[in-house]
Amino acid sequence: MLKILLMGHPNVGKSVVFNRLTGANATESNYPGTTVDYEKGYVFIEGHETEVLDVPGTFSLYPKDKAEEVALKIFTQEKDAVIICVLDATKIERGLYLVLEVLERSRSVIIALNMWDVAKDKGISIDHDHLSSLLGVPVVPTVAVSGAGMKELIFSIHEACTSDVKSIVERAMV
Amino acid sequence: MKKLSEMNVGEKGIVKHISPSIRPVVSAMGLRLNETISIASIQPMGGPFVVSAKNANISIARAHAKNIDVEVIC
Repeated sequence: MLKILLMGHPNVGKSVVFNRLTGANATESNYPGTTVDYEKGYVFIEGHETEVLDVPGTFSLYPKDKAEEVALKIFTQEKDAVIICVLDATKIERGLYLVLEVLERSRSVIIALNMWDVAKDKGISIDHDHLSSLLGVPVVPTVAVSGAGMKELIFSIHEACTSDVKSIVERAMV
Repeated sequence: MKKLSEMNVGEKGIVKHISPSIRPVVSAMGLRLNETISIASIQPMGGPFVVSAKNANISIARAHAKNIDVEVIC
């Protein structure tokens, strides 16, 4: 079964994306050995049941606290899972740090540029197509609270791919 | 050039040095070399320095702020 991990900084809307993806089918589960919870749910994508894990928010893959340790543990355990990196579009730069860390570990990634509406209101415009071609992975603008972009996110799951950080740097230099 | 921990509220500067030991921690939060920052607030009772950088407010512990050098612009 295909698995999806929702990863991102704390407070970027991972759980909202999670609830949008899984709907009322969401269940909560306790991760053994820690006090920090992660959530697990299911979504049907093109007829296939797909497991979605809502990973605790983490700034990087170098854990500084219990929640981040859980995040790293899930990340390393679920070797074949597709990673949806949820980014706050208003604070895109620091979110990309985590994206690059994930890509460095050769994982399949899709980027959800969440809070797209807030970014627009703040006058921040992001060329997501260009960003996508620079990074070599799909970039989907989303507004999880309203549900905008969620369909596109689901439809691009199978386009998730790995990307070589060295060639990203080369493309960015041009 | 002064330490981040010596800056005052409203002061603006460019990050010039971050101790290697704390670099992974603060970089992940969005504070990086050559980044223009300003001090949004300094929390009392030994609380953190709230630094504004690139649309984001980042809380930096005082212990970390001592290990960051900033070139003050204004």
